[in-house]
Amino acid sequence: MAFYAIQFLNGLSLAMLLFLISSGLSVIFGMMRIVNLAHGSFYLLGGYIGLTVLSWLGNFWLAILAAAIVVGLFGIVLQRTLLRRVSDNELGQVLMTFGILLIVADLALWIWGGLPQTLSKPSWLNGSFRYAGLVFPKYRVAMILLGLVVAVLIWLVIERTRIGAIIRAGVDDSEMVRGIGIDIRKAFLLVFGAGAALAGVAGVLGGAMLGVYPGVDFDVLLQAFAVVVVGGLGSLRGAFVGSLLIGFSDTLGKVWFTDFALFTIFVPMVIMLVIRPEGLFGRE
Amino acid sequence: MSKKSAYTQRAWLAPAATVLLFAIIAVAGWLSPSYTTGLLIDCLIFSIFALGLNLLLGYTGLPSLGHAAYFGVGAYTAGLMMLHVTPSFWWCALAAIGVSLAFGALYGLLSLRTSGVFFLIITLALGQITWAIAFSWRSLTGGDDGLRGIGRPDLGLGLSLQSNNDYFLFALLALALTLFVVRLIVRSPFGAALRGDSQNPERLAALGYNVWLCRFLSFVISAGISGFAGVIFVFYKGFVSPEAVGIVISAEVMLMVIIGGAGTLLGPILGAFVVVYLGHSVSSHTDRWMTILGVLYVAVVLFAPHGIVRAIGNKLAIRKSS
Amino acid sequence: MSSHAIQVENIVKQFGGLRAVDDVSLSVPVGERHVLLGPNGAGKTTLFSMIGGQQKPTSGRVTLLGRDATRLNAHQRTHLGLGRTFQITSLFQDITVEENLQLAVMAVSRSRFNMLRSVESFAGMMDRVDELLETWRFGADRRLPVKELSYGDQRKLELAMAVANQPKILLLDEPTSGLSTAETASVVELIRGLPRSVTVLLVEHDMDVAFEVADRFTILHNGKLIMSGTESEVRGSRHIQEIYFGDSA
Repeated sequence: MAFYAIQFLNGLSLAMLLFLISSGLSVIFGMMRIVNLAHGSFYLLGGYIGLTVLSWLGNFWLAILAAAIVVGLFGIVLQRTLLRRVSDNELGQVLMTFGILLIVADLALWIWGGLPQTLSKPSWLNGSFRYAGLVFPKYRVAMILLGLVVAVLIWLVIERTRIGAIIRAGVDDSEMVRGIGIDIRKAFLLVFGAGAALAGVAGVLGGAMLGVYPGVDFDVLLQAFAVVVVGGLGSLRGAFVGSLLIGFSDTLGKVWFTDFALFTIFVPMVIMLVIRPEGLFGRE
Repeated sequence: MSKKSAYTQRAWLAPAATVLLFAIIAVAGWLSPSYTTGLLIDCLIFSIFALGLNLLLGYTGLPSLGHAAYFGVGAYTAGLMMLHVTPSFWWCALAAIGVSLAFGALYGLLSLRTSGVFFLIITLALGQITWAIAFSWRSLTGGDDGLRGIGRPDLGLGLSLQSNNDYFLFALLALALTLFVVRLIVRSPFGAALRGDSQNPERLAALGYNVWLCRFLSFVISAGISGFAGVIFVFYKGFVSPEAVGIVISAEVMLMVIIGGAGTLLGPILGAFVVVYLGHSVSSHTDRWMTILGVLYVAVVLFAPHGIVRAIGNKLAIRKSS
Repeated sequence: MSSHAIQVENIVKQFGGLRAVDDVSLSVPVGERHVLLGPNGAGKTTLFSMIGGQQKPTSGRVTLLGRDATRLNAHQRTHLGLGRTFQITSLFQDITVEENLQLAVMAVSRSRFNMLRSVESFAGMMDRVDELLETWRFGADRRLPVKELSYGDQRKLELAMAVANQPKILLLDEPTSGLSTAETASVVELIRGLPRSVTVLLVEHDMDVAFEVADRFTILHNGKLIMSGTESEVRGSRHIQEIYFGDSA
């Protein structure tokens, strides 16, 4: 019983982490139809930047802030200078973003080295809650709460603000939005930057929980793609549900099929692509 | 008729140039020091692989991001055959190509239910699943360590493949054979249909072609050729690990096709030579080959999306017309 | 029933809340020249694509030359004897005129999946391509990539490809749109010159062309079939006058 309570918590906290990473990817994907293989690089970069800020200043919040700002700006620069040029060329996007993935990964390896590192959690989040004989690590509980808060915040922005309306319209039909004269390019930049920043923050948060290491960019990328495919392009609800599904399936998969854990994310992905490529909650 | 003679005039130029090129490479490789010959063998192996991917990507217009799956499956099958069944090249190659074709058929059935971006993602996912199988099935594949100690195969003609020089000629022949086969396909009615599919699938269907079947066949053949490349690979290296099935290889071969020029016959070969050679020479000077490779990806997309062969072809065409 | 080339029964095409084609039934006897008329958005092209196989109906039946074709793909319908042109020119832009015609001719041959012989080695098919190039006066342009042809020549090529294999049913979607008077006249001449064994279904906006070519008309409006009839019936109908010249959308 205690074992499954822990796994449930692990699955839920992983799901919230995945949600932070993939909500941006889903909206970017749905709105701009950009296949960004470097999305995992945002996570990796965020984690390493957080690590450095933490070691200089010792403050977890500043680490989060730094990651958000630096990675967000990086994302905006990327979109503005490079990605914009391949906006309707899928193959070009794949090659280009894969190249960026390689560059970021290798430079990160050069700067921060090849050993896996973990960010130190803020002291008040160390330790666990004990209740009814079960143990709940404080950090994971905080992660879950944060994930839910962020989900609600994003939902509010998308449903209740003007920029959110533009985003929703853009996901539905970006050509139409362009036709109405709204400067869709600014909206794209903002969305891309926000998505990158979120992934960067996730890198810090996840880094304290699961560590940062060379290769985490690709691991995260695959999981994020699985979430977006299963949940549906451009759907926030899809990203949330997808994150839950993939988060649990990955956690339980590691428990039940240790050696074959990777299948638990890829098989649902392939099945979904074959049966219903637009995902559970996607449009079109 | 003047039309016929124009055809025959042009028709022998390219093949003659190619034969000459092969002859030059053969001599260069034979006379080079062993290290260079080894490098050339790598180039030849990836040329075959790139030719395979080009059929699907360049001629049919379907971008597969998981083609290392077939390359790796071919390599593993040939390796396992050599280690446990027979040292005969022919049986190993037959089995390996057969298994690659089977994977191609299965993955093709799944992937062709999608198109565009989703096709790309599903091929990536399937490639990763294959990688996961190679990584996890320790008893069969050796897991992370892979298969080791695979010797050179027996051609059964009294010829030895032990030395690098011998293997080099063997690989060169393999490439020549592959190029010959691909050329046949590309110039055939089937090849014309593939080209039509990449430009206007709706019109192709309205004319009476079963577009799905064209794509499926292209997918499967492409997988088979990639598997063949895997065979030559594993017998050269003597080992194979999950890396051969990974995304880096899939992306690298895609880069080779694009750099050289997708949809051309010689482009993939040129691309393979460029990327393999660059990798080797850069790696000997710096640890940052991955960064440079990444920059290469970005640069190709920005500056030479149609590849080097097309760029040269365009220059020649411009000069001819002016 | 077997004397009908095209038979459409209670066909519906629904997109979400919109019925692009609403319960349309239509019969075209063998050899008839039948024109679909109607203002923009009436559902003509959707109906057309359901007959041609580019789209499947939400409900209803399509019968071609006596065979139930509702579930058949576009390429399967071509093998039943269908040929079609598209409203927006649909050709293979990056290859030559000659290569386009080769594809058209090879499409219905058993050798279309042949992977081992070069296209040029099929003498019979190459002769047929030469014939077509000659008949349609493309001789000088045979090696030109299609994208370099004029609009009128592209439309001409598309027509050539549609009739290349002597289809029994010809679907032409606005064949004269964007053409000059002379070009339009040749299209009309071509249609009138087709043997009576061929059934022709056209979508046309040019009323002069429509009246010149058609035996019968079907008028669609907002997805519904308003009337089917001969020229005099259409000309005489006040309802039609209203749709076209009154409060047309």
